[in-house]
Amino acid sequence: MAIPLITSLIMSEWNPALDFVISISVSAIVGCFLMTVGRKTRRGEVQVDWKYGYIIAALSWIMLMFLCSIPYLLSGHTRSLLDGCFDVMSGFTTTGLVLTQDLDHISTGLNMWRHMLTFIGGQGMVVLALSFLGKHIGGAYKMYCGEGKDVKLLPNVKNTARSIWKISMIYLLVGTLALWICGMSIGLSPLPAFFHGLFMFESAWSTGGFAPNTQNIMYYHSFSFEIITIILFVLGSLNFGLHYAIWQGKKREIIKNIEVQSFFITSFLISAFAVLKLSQTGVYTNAVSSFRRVVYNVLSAHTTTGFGSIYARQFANEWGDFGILLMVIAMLIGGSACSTAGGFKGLRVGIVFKGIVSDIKKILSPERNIRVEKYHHIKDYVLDDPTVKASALIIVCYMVLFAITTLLGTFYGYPLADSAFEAASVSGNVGLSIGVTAASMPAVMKIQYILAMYLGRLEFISVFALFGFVIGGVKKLCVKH
Amino acid sequence: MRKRKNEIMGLLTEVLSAVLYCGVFFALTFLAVR
Repeated sequence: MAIPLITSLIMSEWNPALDFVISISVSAIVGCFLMTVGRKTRRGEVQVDWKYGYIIAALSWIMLMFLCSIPYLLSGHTRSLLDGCFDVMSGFTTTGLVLTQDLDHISTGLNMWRHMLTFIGGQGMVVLALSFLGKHIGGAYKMYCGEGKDVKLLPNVKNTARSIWKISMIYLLVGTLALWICGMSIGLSPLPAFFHGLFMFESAWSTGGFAPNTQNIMYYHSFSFEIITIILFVLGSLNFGLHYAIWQGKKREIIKNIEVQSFFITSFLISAFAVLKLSQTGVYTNAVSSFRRVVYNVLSAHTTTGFGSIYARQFANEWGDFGILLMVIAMLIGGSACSTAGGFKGLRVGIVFKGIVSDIKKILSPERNIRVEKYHHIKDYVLDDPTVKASALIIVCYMVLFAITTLLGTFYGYPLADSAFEAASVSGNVGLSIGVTAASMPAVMKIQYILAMYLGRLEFISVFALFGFVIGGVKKLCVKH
Repeated sequence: MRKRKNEIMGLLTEVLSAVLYCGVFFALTFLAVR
């Protein structure tokens, strides 16, 4: 919160500065209390096992959601604590849905806070803590995995976390500079252009979808701005392991990697069908408008970014059921594992697809033949049944979450297509909206959306571990009394 | 020195690949709409 505080002071925004001082004080008090309670773990006297690693990761997100919503509440731009928590969870999970009111008139400090949340959430809060805080954190790797990241770039988890941040910081410099120059070229004065560039970079790289204005990417009316953001969110949706491998000199990885192949095939198919359908129906009839309105939104959905180059209701009124269904599929598939993106990830789609092909080949080949299928993800892996099963299980969990969230939407009277679109958007941490998400929607739906974003981001296991732990504790209490 | 060179080349490779990726998509859109 120090950075938004400094931003507010520089911009002479005294009330937001005071909001951040209060928020820092509350967070410091809570932090000191937790450090006192957990001093044994801090000294390394207690070993954190897998179960607690997952639970700590899951609980950290809930705790941070409440603490980080304080500046929202104090700003007066949210209707309630629930709306503040919704926006914070949307930022942390890099979703990008917004309940904040009067977005065009919020302070630069609060805008900085919103975009920092999404940038930090993209890399992961545990990754941040491992990179910069504390010399020895017991069970660090287990907490790191609990946050949905399981790729070890380096043998040491702390160095892995630092590498993730190094990659992001280099892109922060390059991306912000590109967008800053682009902003000035379209008529923004240097200081606002810098802030817009920085905010839009943070959103694009984290595949977040927040923007400093209600019109999102449409505010800029700029093809070059859209091209730069596409490049950034496509790069942001790639696996950090892949970035690291390429930066180590393994350039062929960008072609051989199963995730890149899977992402290219699915994004190509979905874009092609969407462009064909929407040009046939006469909605977008030339190549530039098709690219800017169709391909941009499909890639934004597929990388789980959520920048929208059309208004929310245009999806419902112009795209038709076929277009909406394509967007739902793109949003559910998502980007790469161990990246800033959400969804059930290209890696799992690739593994399950290869698993199915392998099974068919097994049936068709003579019984004596022993086939060993492999897939390439940074290095060659044997495609065994447990890997396929684990990937399929996560996909099933996502589908169940999507079905429940859609069901709830229809229960509250929203049309099926709208409910499904919004459910895919929250489950896949995308952030595109068809108009369902609004401050006036039922509180139960807001809670379900927060839960869906949280589950989708942490990829279920950590949250299930937390649920199991809480239920186990309640059972013990019941038996005792 | 070699490590730094690899990092810069890696960054350029990634950005160029993404630019190429966008180019391919734009070309495909053009063909589809035409």
